[in-house]
Amino acid sequence: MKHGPLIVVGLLVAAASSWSAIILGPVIQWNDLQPFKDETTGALYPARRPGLAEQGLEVFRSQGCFHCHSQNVRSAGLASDLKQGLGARRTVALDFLYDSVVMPGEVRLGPDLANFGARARKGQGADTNALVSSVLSRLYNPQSKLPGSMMPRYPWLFEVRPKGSVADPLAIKPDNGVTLGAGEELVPKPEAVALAHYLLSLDSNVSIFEAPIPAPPKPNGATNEVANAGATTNVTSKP
Amino acid sequence: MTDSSPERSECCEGSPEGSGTSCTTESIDLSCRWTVLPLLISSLLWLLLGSATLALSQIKLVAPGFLSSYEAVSYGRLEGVITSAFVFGFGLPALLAAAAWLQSRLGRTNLEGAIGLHIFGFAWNVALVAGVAGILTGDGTGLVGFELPRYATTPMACAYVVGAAVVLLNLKMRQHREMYPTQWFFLLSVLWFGWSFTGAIIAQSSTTSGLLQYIVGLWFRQQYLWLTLVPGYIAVTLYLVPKLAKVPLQNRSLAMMVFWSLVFLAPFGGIPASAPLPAWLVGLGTVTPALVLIPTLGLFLIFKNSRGEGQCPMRLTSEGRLISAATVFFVSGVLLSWIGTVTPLARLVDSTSYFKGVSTLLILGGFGLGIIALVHHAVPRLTGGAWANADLLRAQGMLSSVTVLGLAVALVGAGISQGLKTSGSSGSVGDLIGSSRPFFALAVLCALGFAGAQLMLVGAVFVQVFRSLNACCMPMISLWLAPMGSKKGAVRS
Repeated sequence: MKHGPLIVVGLLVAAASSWSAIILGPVIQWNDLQPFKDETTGALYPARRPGLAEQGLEVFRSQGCFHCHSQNVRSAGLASDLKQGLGARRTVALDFLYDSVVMPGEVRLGPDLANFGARARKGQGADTNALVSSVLSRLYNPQSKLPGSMMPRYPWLFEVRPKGSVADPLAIKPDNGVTLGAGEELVPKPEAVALAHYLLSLDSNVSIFEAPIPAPPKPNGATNEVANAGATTNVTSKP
Repeated sequence: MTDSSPERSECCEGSPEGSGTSCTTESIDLSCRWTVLPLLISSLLWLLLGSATLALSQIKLVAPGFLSSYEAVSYGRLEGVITSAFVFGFGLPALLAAAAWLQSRLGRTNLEGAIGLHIFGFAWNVALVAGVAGILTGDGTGLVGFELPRYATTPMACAYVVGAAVVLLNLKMRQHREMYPTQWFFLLSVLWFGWSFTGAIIAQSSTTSGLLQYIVGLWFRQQYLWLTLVPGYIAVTLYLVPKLAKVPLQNRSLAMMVFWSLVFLAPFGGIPASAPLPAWLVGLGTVTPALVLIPTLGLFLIFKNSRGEGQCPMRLTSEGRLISAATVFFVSGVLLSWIGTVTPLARLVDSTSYFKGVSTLLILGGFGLGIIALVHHAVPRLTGGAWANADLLRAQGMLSSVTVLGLAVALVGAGISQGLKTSGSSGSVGDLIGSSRPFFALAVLCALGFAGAQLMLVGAVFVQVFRSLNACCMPMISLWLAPMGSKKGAVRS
C-alpha cells in the first residue's frame, strides 16, 4: 500500500460507520424515549428520583461501587437472575431514563442492586428510618451482616460528633476499636444518608412493554401469561 | 509473497526535500534519542504504577481491611486508576514513542518535529496525573474503562493532536512511497485513537443522557482496545519478528487482509452480552468477537511463517521470546473472548472476573509484552550501547510473561468459579466469596511479580540512559574542567 490518503479515507469510512451505528443509532432510537404510562392507573415509570436519592447516585459513582455491584437483572436466557429472585423482570434501558450516570456494572463481586430497595422493603418493612439505618450499618461494617464479606468498610462516610439534645436516630454503634467519649455519637455524613436513600430507591419491579413481568404459574398447569403491562409486582400478585 | 526486511537499506540518498543529507541508522537513532526515550520512560513508569495499583486492588479483595481507612485507595477508586494507568499512561505514550522511532527507521529519515513530541509528553502526563488524582478523589465518570474526568481528557486530546501530528509528519516524509505493514498499523492506531478520543469527548459533552454516555463509554473502550492498542501490538510484531528471525516478512497480502478486516470488523463490538441495551446493539457486540478471529488467524499465520521452523534465532533474544509470548497471549485472549461471548460458556461467565482476565491477556499480554519487547530492542540502539546486564533483562522478560499468564489464569479461573457458584437458582454472594478468594490470592502474587518485573525494567533503562549521558557529557565536562593548555591541545586534536 503506497497511497496514504486512500488508506486514510478507508479508515475514516470505517470509523464513521462505527460511530453512526453504535452512537448515532441509539440517539435516533431513543430520541423520543418517554416514561412508560400504565393505562389503568396512569402512573409513569420510571419516576424521577427524589433529590436525596439523586445525590446518592453521585456518591455511588464517586465511591466506584459499580466495580463490584451490578444493577442489571439479566434475562432468563442468559442467567438465572430471575430464578434467584433478583428482580421480577430483566433490566432494560428505560430503567435508567432519568439517571445522569448509568452504571449497570460488568463484574458482580457483590449482590446485584437493581432491586435493592424492593428487596429491603420486602424483608424489613417500610419504616424508612429503619431501612436507612440498616444500610448505614452495612456501609460502616459489612462484615457485621455477612462475615467474611469482600466488601470494605466505609468509615469516611461517618463522623463522631457531640450528641445534641436529642440523639440522632441514624446514629450507629461504633466498633473496630473506635471508642466514643461521653456525650459523643457516631453519625453518618450527608453522603452516607444520600447513598442509603439512593440504594433504597432502586426498584424496577414494574411490568413495562419491552420487559413484561411473567405472571405466576396457574395451579391448573395452564401456560404462563404476561401480566398486564404497567402493573407492579404487588398489583400483579392480586387475584 | 514476501516482503523485504523492515529497514530496506542502511543508508538513504537524501531527505525528501532533496537536501542531499544522508541518514544512517545511527543518525536516525540519534535524532530520536532524547525524544523517544523520555516518552518510553514515562510510559514505563505508568506501567509500574498501574501494576502496583493492580496488586493493591487485588490485595483488597483478599483482605478487605487492608488500608481500609483511606478513601482514596478504596477498591472502587483503584479500579479506575488501573485502566487509566495502563491505557492512557502506558499505552498511548509508548505507542507514539514506538511509532515515532519505527516510522523514522522504516522511512529512512531523521525524526522531525521532536519538540511536538516533547509538548505531547509533558501536557499529556500532566493532564493524566490530574485525571488520576481526580479519580482518587471521587471525580471519576462512572464509565468502566473511561473514568478520567473531563477536565483531564480535554487537555489530553489537545496534547494528542500535537503528538500524532509529529508521527504523521514523519510518515509523510518517508523515503519510500511503498509503506511497510508496520507503518500501516501505526497509521491506523494513531489516526483512530485521535478520532475516537475526540468523538467520545464531544459525545460526552454534548449529551446529558446517562444512557448515551454509557454507550459512548462502551464504544470508546472498544476503539482504544481493538483499533489503537491491538494495531500497535501488530505493528511492533510485524517489525520485530522478521528482523529477529532474519527472514523476510511472510506475507504482505495476508497482512493487508489483517489490516482491513480489523478496520471493518472490530469497531462494532464492545457491548457486553448482558448490557441492558437494545437487542440489535447487543447482537453486534456478540458477533464481533467471532469476526475478529479472522484478523487474529491471519496474524498468527504471518507470525508462524515469518519466524520459520526449527531453531529460530528469535529464541536467542529476550525480545524474541517476549514477542512470541505476546502473540500467544493475544491469540489466547481473542479465543477466550469468543468462547466467553458466543459459546454456552457465556451463560456461566457473564458478569464475572472472566473478562478481566481476557482484557489482561489483550492489554498486558499482547500489547504490553509487545511494547516491552520493543523496549528491550530499542533502548540499546537509542542509547548507543548494549544492555549493562543482559541476564537481568532476560529475567525481566521471563518474569513479565509468567506473571501475565498467572494473572490471566487467576482472573479467568475466578470468573469461571464465580459463574459455577452463582449460576444455579440458589447461588449466593457468600458462595462466590469463598470460591474466588484463592484465585484472587494468586492474582495478588502475580500482580506483585509483574510490578517487580517492571521495576527491574525501569531500573535497567535508567542505567542505560545514565551511561549514555555519561558517555556523551563526560568528555565535554572533562574538557571544560581541564587546564587551559591541555584544553587547547584537546580542541586541536
